[in-house]
Amino acid sequence: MIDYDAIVIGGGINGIAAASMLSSKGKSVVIIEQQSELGGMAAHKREGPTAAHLLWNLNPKVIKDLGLGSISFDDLTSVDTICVCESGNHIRVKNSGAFYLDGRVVDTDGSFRKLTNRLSRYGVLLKKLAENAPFGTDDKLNSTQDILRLLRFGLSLKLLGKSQMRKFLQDILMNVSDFLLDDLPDGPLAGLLSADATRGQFSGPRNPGTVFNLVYRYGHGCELTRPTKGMENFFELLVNAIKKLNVDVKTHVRAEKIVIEEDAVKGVELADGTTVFSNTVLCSSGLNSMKKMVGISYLDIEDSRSIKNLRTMGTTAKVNLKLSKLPIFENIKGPINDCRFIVAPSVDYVDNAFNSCKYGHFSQTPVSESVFTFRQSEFWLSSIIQFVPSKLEGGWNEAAREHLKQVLVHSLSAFIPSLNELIVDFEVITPNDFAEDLGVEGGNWHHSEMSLDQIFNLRPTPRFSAYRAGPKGLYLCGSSSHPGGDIMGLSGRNAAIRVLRNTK
Amino acid sequence: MEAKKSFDAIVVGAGHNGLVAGAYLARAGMEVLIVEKNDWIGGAAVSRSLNEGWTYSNCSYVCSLFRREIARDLELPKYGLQIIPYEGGASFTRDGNYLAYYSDHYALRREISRFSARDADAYQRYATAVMRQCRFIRPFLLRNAPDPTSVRPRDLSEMAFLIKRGYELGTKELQDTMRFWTMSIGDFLDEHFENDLLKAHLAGSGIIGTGLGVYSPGTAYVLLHHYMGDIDGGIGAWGFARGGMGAISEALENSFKHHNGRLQKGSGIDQFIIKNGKVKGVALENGDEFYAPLVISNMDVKRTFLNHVKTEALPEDFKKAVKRFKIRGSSAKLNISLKGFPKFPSAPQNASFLRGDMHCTESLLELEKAYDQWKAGEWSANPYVDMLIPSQIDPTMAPKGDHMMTVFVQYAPYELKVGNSRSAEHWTAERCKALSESVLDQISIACPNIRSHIEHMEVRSPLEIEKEVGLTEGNIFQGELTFDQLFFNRPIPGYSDYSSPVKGLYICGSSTHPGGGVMGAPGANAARTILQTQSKNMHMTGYAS
Ligand SMILES: Cc1cc2nc3c(=O)[nH]c(=O)nc-3n(C[C@H](O)[C@H](O)[C@H](O)COP(=O)(O)OP(=O)(O)OC[C@H]3O[C@@H](n4cnc5c(N)ncnc54)[C@H](O)[C@@H]3O)c2cc1C
Ligand SMILES: Cc1cc2nc3c(=O)[nH]c(=O)nc-3n(C[C@H](O)[C@H](O)[C@H](O)COP(=O)(O)OP(=O)(O)OC[C@H]3O[C@@H](n4cnc5c(N)ncnc54)[C@H](O)[C@@H]3O)c2cc1C
Ligand SMILES: Cc1cc2nc3c(=O)[nH]c(=O)nc-3n(C[C@H](O)[C@H](O)[C@H](O)COP(=O)(O)OP(=O)(O)OC[C@H]3O[C@@H](n4cnc5c(N)ncnc54)[C@H](O)[C@@H]3O)c2cc1C
Repeated sequence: MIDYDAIVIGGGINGIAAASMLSSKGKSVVIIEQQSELGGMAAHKREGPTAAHLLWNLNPKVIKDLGLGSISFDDLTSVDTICVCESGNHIRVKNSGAFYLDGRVVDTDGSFRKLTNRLSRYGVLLKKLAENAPFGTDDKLNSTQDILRLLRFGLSLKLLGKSQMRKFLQDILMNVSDFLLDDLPDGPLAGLLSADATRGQFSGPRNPGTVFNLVYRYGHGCELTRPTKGMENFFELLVNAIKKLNVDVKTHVRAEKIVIEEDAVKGVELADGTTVFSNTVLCSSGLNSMKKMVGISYLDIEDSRSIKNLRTMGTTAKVNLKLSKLPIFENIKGPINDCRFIVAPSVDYVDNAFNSCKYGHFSQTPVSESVFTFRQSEFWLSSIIQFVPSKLEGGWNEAAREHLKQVLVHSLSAFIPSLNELIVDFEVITPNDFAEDLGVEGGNWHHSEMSLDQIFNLRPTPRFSAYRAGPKGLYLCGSSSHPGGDIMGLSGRNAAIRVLRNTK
Repeated sequence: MEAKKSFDAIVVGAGHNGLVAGAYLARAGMEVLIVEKNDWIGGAAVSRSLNEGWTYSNCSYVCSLFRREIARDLELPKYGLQIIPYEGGASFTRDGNYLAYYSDHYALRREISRFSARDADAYQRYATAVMRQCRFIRPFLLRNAPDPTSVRPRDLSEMAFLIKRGYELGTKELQDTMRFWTMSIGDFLDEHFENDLLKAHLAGSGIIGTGLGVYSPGTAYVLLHHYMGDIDGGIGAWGFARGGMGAISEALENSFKHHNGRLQKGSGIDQFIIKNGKVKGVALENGDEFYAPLVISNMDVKRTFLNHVKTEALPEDFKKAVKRFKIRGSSAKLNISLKGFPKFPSAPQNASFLRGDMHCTESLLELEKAYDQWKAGEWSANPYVDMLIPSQIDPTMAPKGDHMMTVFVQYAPYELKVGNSRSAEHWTAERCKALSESVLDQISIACPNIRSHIEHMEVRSPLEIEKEVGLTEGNIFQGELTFDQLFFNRPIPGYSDYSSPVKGLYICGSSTHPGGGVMGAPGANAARTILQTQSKNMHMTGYAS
């Protein structure tokens, strides 16, 4: 007995992307989501705004699958970056140009622009890799296609020209600190890029391989946008779109167990006691939750060990400050909510903040990215703080939360001196909160660390890199699969393509 | 008699790689001159007597990486080289315990189970994994790295070899290999073991000589770099060169001279003589000039091109790439003349592991903190020490009854931070003394009486190593071993074939593939490349060809 052609566990961006792909190819699909709304980690919220506040890498192919076509792009507003400096000489970065707030150019020799151009060139290359399953994971049948793809990628490398190609092959392996400081003085611009490279990561700017993360972040050409009507509205759009595609959605119900018979998936048992039957299950939760749902007796011992060894330390917290009124910024032209505010005055500062995290503390001088959000008649300042360990020494009690908020407010007061008086309410959402609410170990931004030993064919583990895991019919479609996290949707899309191919 | 001025080839620097390159070229029939700035040879593979009766291996101190193919080709045993393996080692703890490391599999298993039965089992898996990586990498050491952007037959055939080796591994092993190469040693050990002391003991090899911490990606490779050698086929085993590491250089010198090589010591080169984009010879600091159509530099890539080549002779891009090459000083060293043999109270009398490498670090976090201090421009308050007393096995190192101790110290920055300024100039005599006190404190964990046995001590800061050996920043590998600076990226993308934009000018030091350590491979690879491309009637013969 079969209820659906496929069941998707988890309705985050990747679950949505997978479901829409399958459904647009005529499959009947249901999404099972334990939260009351779809959107997953990105849309996670308590009283205040959602966890994610910006769109880095939203993939046009995903949007197209959803049948949203071009309309959604009218709904996006591009966002400028303000680098907050203690000296008061804040810098605005707009379309890879950098200016002081009074309009003077910062980047007088153009080296920042050159650097960001180089990054977007690399981004184009990586994007091609992101839009497909990793090389070498194809089953025998399709390996010629795989080789062709490899050749095509080789060609696009070659087309960079000899010297650019050499540079690429070195740059992509470097640590972001060296990469930046070779061309830029250490200061707010280098700080900004090193913060962007390490956001969501358990690695500091001096860790080899972090240039890859920076390229990943700028994968779609250094363009940074936010949904004009807010993140909640954006996810509403997506939900309406999948409903139009006839995807069934069950929210507020946990998938407890993946039913397996004779080493093949038969369906999913839900917390309400019902079972949904299907021969194909795509799971977008963290791998550890997947392991629990499958039961270790159905996994190879080597796979169980790889899952245990997966590095999933979460390092991002969200602090939402509810303000009595908007502070006034005389120097900032244009709407204040079209900017993000970065506190990362130098690479050294970012590296220092990371150091604390290694030993189970958060830094007293944190790296943060903040945006102003208006909801109904409320004003929120919503911040992502980097290098906040899920495994905090002493645990995440009320005092620790309060302390994290104070540390943030203090570091922002260089920019908003009156901030403390404006706060009427606040909430601190720790990596552990994300982990508990979402079934994502450690509350990691990408579900598992994006380091060179956990990407491409090695993502999430070498044996699972073809989106397949364990018993027949079980697929992985969350961020822990290639290419990884952000509101991007490619992990889900790639997984769905794999399902379609295998069930043809 | 007018001294000879013209040669077929000149090697600049008598470090072991320069000597290897010189010896191969001389064997092939070239007239070769080696010029060395110091009054002695060997570079960082040197033995000197700074305190009468005692011999120090002043820089490098243990041998394993040296390619046996080279030792055979150049007949080093015939010219006096003997490598004596040592077995085992230990890590001592503050509370009077220790973990001993034995090369005997069963003894090691028993010892590890004293701390954790689970880890004793895991060690099997760990050793297999590391050994597999060693086997994979070893054939690449005596080959050139292909330039992936080039379609020259040489590069294509090396590329084909690489792909073939990778393909032979099969998908799973290839993925494991890729993972291993990009991992941190801390994560790799955490995957296998639960005991902190064991992890700390094994992790040392992943950070020696590098400006990286145990949790920095790429350090698993650095560990491999220390394990991929062998002694008489015992992969991963280490030993002492009888007479100190200088014995390797001496044997090389003898082999070189036997084939009519000429060595000129005591004056370094001032400039490479370059005309119309071609190298013509070298001009020494003492005013002498020597000429040859081939000049091979044993100095690191920065020193070679930024200090001794006129800047007009090099394209801008190349100079920029050389400037970007990372050579970071992160190590210091103590060489100690001991009166008598100091007591190690926690170890049994005459324990075999006292003849091996000893450490006093108890956890990976302690190592990571040591690294953080280095990043901040300080030397580590609790440094990682790798100490050995070779005179127990090699009696030539110290008077009878007395001993020589070599202590390698990780981390010490080149640019020391004092107040708000960072500069190598801060390495004054007092600060070297203070550094040695920190190190002796650390050693006291294992050997509380160490201070009362000290007869003489040489303290080597990164600055001092740089000044004497010419290793930029005192970096022991002539350049960081991070993956952006390995294989075809070493030293400069596009120049991994030992050549340079100046015709006839080559480099053969540890800045080149496959990198640092007393290995000889860069020298041999450079010699082979030169003979292949520059000479029609001379060939490299032997195992390394
Ligand atoms: C603080 C923070 C801020 C961020 N900000 C941004 C940003 O500004 N821009 C950006 O692009 N990215 C941002 N990200 C990253 C982004 O949110 C994630 O990478 C992305 O949402 C991951 O999507 P996903 O679909 O793979 O997984 P998720 O969104 O985690 O989806 C997994 C879903 O599965 C559900 N689930 C798990 N187990 C079960 C079960 N047993 N039964 C039923 N349902 C289950 C979970 O409830 C969840 O909804 C941020 C992340 C964090 C933590
Ligand atoms: C403290 C320390 C401990 C180490 N321990 C070990 C170890 O235990 N085991 C191991 O395998 N490796 C060890 N190493 C690393 C190893 O010693 C080096 O990587 C290796 O010796 C480098 O050899 P090389 O021939 O490439 O260069 P070098 O030895 O640096 O040779 C360069 C030569 O060029 C000469 N020179 C410089 N400038 C000029 C000039 N202007 N004109 C003429 N000549 C010049 C120098 O005097 C020197 O002789 C250690 C290194 C150090 C510093
Ligand atoms: C980290 C490391 C440090 C080393 N240090 C030293 C050293 O200090 N001194 C030294 O002389 N050699 C040392 N060795 C080398 C090692 O002892 C052997 O030389 C090496 O195992 C080569 O044997 P093989 O090539 O025959 O490998 P194999 O025999 O193929 O070994 C493969 C596997 O068999 C296991 N194995 C080996 N012997 C036994 C045994 N008797 N019983 C059960 N299992 C066994 C190994 O652990 C490994 O898992 C070291 C090796 C490693 C990896």
